[in-house]
Amino acid sequence: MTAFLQQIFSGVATGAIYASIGIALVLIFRSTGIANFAQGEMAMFSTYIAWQLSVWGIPLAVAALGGVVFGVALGILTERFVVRRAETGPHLNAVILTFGLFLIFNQSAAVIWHSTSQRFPSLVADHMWKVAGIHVSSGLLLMLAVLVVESAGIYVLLQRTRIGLWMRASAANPESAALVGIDVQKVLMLGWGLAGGFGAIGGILIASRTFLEPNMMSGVLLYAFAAIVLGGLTSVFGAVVGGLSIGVLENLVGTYVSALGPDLKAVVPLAVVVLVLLVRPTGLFGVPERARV
Amino acid sequence: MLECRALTCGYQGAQVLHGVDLRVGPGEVLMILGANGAGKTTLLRAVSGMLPVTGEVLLEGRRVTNTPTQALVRMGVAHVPQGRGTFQQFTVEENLLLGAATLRSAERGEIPARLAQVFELFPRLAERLHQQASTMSGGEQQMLAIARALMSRPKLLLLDEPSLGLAPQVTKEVFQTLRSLKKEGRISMLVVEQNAHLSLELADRVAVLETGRTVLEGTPTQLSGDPALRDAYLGGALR
Repeated sequence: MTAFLQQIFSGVATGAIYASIGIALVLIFRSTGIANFAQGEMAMFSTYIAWQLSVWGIPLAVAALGGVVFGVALGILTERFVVRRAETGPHLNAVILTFGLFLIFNQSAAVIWHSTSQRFPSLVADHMWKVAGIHVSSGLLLMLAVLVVESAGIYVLLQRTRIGLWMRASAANPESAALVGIDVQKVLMLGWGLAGGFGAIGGILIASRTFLEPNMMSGVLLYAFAAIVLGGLTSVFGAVVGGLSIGVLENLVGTYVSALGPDLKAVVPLAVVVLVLLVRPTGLFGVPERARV
Repeated sequence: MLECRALTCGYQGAQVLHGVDLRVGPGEVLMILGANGAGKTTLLRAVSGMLPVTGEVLLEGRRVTNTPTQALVRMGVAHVPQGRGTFQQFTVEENLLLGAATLRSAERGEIPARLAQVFELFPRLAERLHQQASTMSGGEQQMLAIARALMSRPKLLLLDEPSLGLAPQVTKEVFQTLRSLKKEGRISMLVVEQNAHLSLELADRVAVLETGRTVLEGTPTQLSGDPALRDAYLGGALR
């Protein structure tokens, strides 16, 4: 029983990572309808910036903040100078564009920092507690704390602030948003910036738990997509629930389904995607899209 | 207030407006009449910067041709589009607050006063403040759309078929409100409307649009005296 609870708890911690990347994906999808396949690579690149800053002797907390700020700037610039050109055309153009960005960020990181993996310093002093027989590390707690703060922050931003109301309005009905005087393009740019920032936070958390290398996000992105499909693509809350569920499920399958084991557990998110699309295409918290005819 | 000169505009390859000239004076209500497909909706969209145009659009004598929509809202143009353009999943309050999106942070203290003024015109909205827009009746949604437009304190209000899909009694209510708004004299209106009877009571002048051109202009009395026109556009409504 203790072992089972331990698996669930570590699953929640991994899920927190999927959730934070999932939040970034949702922020962009709900405002532009674009699945940003470059999200993971943008996060990885921002994480490298944070790592580079700390290698240059800047205190880790400041370096991490620098990485997040870089992520925000990268998101804004990507929208302004790249994605905006494809936003009016068919969605497939924009999606292919994000694949291109994926390659650019991935390869640039490999050229600048080489493909060998780097150790990212841990963000909090390592400490392990034992609560009711379950091992709880300071790193895991940090991850959960960040997820809670992130989710609460986004909730307050979207539901309680003026700019959040504008963001929701621009996503729900861009034409009407322009008619009340909202500069929809600027709001979109801000959404990409926020997503870039949240992605960077996710990337830094992952790197501090595992290692830093150009391909570190490819698996995570897959899980994050599974998480938001489960959560319903447009719901931030859904991304959090989806991320945590996928993390727990992955961990339990890896441990208890010996036929799959740790090596084949990547099947889990894919199976979830297929299942959700067959049974409940809107996901848990998605709102079905209604087209006016 | 508003002047259009030789306005042309269209959608990818299909020209819809072929040189429209019109003028709306301060505090004046100009009604646009025309058959389906004459370009009425396109005209409003062109005026509020939602479509690229050639020709000239002047707002209070200033050239604003091809100014982005959101910038025009800041200059005092409010457009209630066909189908109302309310935010369906949002509450009445959120819709009204969005109407005040052009207010700078320093001016936000004005919002309660503006809400109060809008509720005076549409008391029913005050009762429905926390209701989701999509759950309201068509008439209430139209009132919400107009109220939202008024939240920006526009100088020029563009209305695209405010009676569309409404029951006759509700339409009457909406037009009563528009008339009392007109009496205040602070706002000019450019109205596209099929309900000729009610609109002629509201309008100071009427312009007839035919295949993308203004073919006739005059006061309601002048135009309703023209039998050919009455049959073509007013459906005998004034007989």
